[in-house]
Amino acid sequence: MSYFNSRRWKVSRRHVLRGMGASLALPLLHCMDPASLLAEEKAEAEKGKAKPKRAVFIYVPNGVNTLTWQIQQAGADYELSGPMKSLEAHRQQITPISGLYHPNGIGQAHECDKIWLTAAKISQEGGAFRNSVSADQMMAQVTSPHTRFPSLELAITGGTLAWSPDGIPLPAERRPRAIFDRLFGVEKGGVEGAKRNLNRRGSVLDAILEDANSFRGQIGTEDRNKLDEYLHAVRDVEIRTQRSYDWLDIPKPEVAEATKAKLTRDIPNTDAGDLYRTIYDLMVLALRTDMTRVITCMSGSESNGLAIPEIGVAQTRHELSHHNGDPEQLRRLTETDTFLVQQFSYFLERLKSYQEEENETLLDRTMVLFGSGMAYGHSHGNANLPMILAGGSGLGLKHGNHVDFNLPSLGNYTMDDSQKHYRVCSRPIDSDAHLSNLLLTMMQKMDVPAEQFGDSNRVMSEILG
Amino acid sequence: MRQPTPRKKVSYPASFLPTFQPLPNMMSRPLSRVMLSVAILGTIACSQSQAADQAAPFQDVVGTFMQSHCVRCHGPESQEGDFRVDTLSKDVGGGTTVNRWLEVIEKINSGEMPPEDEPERPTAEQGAKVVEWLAARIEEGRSARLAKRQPVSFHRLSRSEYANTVEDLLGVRYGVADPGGLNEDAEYHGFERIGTVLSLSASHIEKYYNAAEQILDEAYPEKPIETTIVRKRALDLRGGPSREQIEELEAQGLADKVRVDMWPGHHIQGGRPGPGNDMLKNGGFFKVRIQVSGMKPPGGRAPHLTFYADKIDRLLFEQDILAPEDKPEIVEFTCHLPPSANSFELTNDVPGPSNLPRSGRSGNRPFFSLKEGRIPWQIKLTDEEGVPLYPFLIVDWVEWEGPIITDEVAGKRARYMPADGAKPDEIRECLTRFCEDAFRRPVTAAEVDRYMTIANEELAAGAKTQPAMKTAMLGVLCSKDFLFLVEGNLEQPTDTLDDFEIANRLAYMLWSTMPDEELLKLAHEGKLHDKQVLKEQFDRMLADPRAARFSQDFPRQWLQLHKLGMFPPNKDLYPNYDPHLERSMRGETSAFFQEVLDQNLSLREFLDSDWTMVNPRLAMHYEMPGIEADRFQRVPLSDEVHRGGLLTQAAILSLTSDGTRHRPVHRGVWVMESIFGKSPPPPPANVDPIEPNPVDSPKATIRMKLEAHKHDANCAACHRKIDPLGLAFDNFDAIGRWRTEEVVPNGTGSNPKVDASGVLPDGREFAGPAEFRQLLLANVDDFNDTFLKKLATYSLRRTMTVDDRQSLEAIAAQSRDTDYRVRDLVEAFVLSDLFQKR
Repeated sequence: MSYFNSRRWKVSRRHVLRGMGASLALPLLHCMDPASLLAEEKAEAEKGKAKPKRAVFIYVPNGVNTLTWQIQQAGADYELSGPMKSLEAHRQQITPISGLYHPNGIGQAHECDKIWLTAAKISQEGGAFRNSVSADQMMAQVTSPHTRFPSLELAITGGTLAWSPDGIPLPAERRPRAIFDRLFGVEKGGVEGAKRNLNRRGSVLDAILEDANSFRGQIGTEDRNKLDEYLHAVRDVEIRTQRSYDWLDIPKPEVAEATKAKLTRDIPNTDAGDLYRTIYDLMVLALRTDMTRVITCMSGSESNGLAIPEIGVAQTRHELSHHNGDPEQLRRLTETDTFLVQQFSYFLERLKSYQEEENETLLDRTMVLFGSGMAYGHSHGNANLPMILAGGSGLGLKHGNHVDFNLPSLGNYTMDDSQKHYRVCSRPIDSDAHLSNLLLTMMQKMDVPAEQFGDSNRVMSEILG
Repeated sequence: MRQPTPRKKVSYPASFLPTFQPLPNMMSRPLSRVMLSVAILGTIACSQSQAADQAAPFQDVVGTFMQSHCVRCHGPESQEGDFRVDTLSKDVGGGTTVNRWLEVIEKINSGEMPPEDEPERPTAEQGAKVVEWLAARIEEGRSARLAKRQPVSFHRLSRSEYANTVEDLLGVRYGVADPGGLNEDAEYHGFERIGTVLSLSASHIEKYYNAAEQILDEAYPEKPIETTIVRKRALDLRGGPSREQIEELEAQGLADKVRVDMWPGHHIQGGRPGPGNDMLKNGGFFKVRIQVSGMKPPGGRAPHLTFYADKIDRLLFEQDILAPEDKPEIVEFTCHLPPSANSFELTNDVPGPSNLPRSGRSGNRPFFSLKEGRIPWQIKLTDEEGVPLYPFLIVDWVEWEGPIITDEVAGKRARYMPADGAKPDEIRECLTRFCEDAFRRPVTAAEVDRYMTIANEELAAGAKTQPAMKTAMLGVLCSKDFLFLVEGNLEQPTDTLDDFEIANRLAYMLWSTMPDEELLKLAHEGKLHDKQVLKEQFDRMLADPRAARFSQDFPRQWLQLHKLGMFPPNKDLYPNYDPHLERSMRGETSAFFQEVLDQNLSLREFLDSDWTMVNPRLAMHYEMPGIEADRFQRVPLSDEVHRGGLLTQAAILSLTSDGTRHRPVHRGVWVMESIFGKSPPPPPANVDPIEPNPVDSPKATIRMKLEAHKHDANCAACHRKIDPLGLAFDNFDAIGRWRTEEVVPNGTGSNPKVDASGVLPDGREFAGPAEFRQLLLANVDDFNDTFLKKLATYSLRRTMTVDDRQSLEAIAAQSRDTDYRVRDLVEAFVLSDLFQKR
């Protein structure tokens, strides 16, 4: 069916360059001319096959119990704090980081998940909500020629972390079965049936695009916002359709029946641990089979993050974070922090267990950022964000230290004065310690040709080997 | 109390300052009322900020301040921090330096600028004045940008409007909120239908595409399914007795006497019409009937039946059941199900002692009657007189009927679908009809051509007529003209709507769906500009059952009810809060609005009333005994209930809480926005955290902590205006229960007494919520303006600007003349010139 490849598909350069959060050294993007996509992609794919570079972002809602979370010493001789103890086994693959913050996040309690990967300034009134592109999507633009899916947006509960170059949210998939089907599902009617469906879709997209385009030509150049948004959206679907079509003849990896059965179970939210681990297993599977190289995962909704019955915590994370100083609530918050880190350790363990070429593990070729846009949830303090960077040694990250931006001017932490530490978590100690610096550094390690991201002010050399 | 003094004209939207002016009764002639309204709006009650009047020019308020406090370091001589203020655009809200002005606001607001070592620092009041003035300009600018009209404007349908429209078009109710349905819509101050706010991504288009496929497959199934009726008797439902036992019961003729007894919290699965029956396979509308008895213990709660479809996470039906054991009733409801939804939970959804750990109620023994007694290890079901001790449900059977396709729906679908092997002309005719209906206006041949091309391509590829037609229809359902309300004319740019645009605006306002045949017919005839015709249509449409959507959707958006339940109340602190209560809260506000509209009551009822609408669940929450029938009913409110109007409704009191406590400041902001139509500026970013109450210090109310927090003069300047509006409701906790003491979990001593008194910025004092509501009544004119502005925003799908001021004032005056009667007001709006403007 050459029919599909003969379509007049063009994506305007302008569209691609609308990633507002980043100043690019003009990349040559494959999606400019999808008609020539295939050849270009194949060449790129050859190049990419050599050494995959991957990035994963996992968000923790509502901050942590900062009183028990804080690591006290900087450098290599640090002691992991209580909730992080399960990471001991990964000590040489992780870097806990203290003192980072988003300048635009301060005082923006209800947007901190939305700007975690974008660093954007967002009106607190909810108004004409506009975000900017998220770091993961910048990475996905680079990795997408090599994989079936440019990126994967997941959530255990809650919304998405990923934002398109137009600052529009990319909705996240939540249930294990839906995630599995999206990745490995086989179209009914086999390849021919799938081709037929995609052609049908192409035909429909052509018509509505032509319709909107001809209309657009008639209205002046100014103020076409809503129509343009529609056009961009339809074009993006065309690209996705084209991509699906191109990948049709490349068989999806086979997943063993037992694995499939395990990963497509309908797990109730009350079995929190099982649910977390299953989602993490799915992520490992997606990376291992090279279905995608960029994943974001919202590990819990900010307003209604999972209760964890198996450790005796019946409240949602949001409830716990508003602990009002109650020692029992604080204890439970620490328990859930510990639990979430344990699941994270499990994820790292799984990544470590897969060997790639040249004595590297899957973890060595995957950067993982685990953290929150909030520190002290009770009073919405969002400086000194909890942040753990892991993996990616093969990409040039250096681990083993606790990188701390507070201690140089703070001297030491005084944890028995809780109010004092809460202030550390509410206002930045080092006002230059922007989280964007870390995001920029990770982007560069993924070969994103960017010199700046959001409000970044330097590359974070502390984590580079 | 000061008398209002006429001031300079004001622009919309007014500053964030609420105006609290008693309405003098000396003015009675309409003309003076108009003047008064302007006067009241223009009067800034808080005396310190009179100079912050919106009309004061830039130089008076900002220029002088900048000159004396800022320019030395941020002017021509020196630009510290690369920041220069004297070159910023004086068009604060509309210019290109809005963001820089926002920074100015933040710096002054936070007290960071001018810096402390500055010899002559301005007072907090002076700073506040500048901040208020700037914030008001920026808000105006923002509104203006949002409302900016293009030669042709596109307002995307919200997802609930999409669902309603599709249902009217093809008789399919698509589950937009089901998992995998459509994406949630963005809201702006609660409004879900502002054209400029609703965005669109590739994911949206993919979901519209998938939705359209599913909708068309249901409307035109490959293998249609005959309507059938399937009844599941108790023995099929409960899964208790073994096959042998069932056979034995059948032999004894007892099989149909067996019932399912349901304890509190108990749920049974298997209420589905299967296995082996593919009735649900194509999806569609289904009728479900359940024969059930419900026994309520004296003084306790009624059993509450819920019917839930777990795969699509949708509650299909709920109702309290009150029917004696020997006189069961049959409840019936209609639901729409997608093909995948085939598992259901039927629950007796009340709290109570569950007997489940005791090996499943009556064990394997079939249940016939409560009178039969119990197995020795069971807890007692009834007292000695046979009165039930707990809320019991007893289910006899569940019956399914469907899929149901009414003649009307069948007729509609047939109009669009050509017969197999139809000629191109016939296909084209069908497609033209579908385009016209879907686009809700006449279409050109060229427009139909595009979709005809799809059908032709499909036919050429070997598809049969029906699938080819379905693909063309898929295109129509994903096109801009279906997904958007398009207003404007390319050839002749105009500010007024054409007849079809009026039909659409009216239908989406009152029904949240597409115009019906009659409206479209009048549009074809060009009669909808005629106000008499429009009035007849308004009356007809309000009498239609679809108008109930207006009473749900408009108050939900105006009052920001989407926030209700956003932070679920902590179960330890509020054990009585459950989803049923939350739905009942929502129900009250919507039923209250409906009653005011239907009875054409005054807007004053929203501010204070001696009645409200409750169902039994909410009555229990309000401690009002004697409400049994499970529907919303009007009840009088005595003083002891401490309630009246919108502001003491549980939904309103709850939506501002954070799940653990009430939040007076958020309540104050809500009153400002929803009643006075003003948005206070956001708090500065560097506020110190409110410290938790230490375990070893005396218990303190949130109010006490707030006051301790407010010593900073920069904060106090704004909070003095916001906080009293919220503190007035401190007698209500985070889920809207009346209290006189605030429960404080930590600290020493007894719980502190609630203090709900306050002083309004204009000096009027109140002792608690009841007096506060009385004071509010004097501000009915402000509320009239706000209500109208919200109504216009909702209907015109854009924010109001200074350009709309005159039209709005004219309608507001009409409303005053009819004593603020709400139906009259809505009618006046629909018949106004504004309604026909883009």
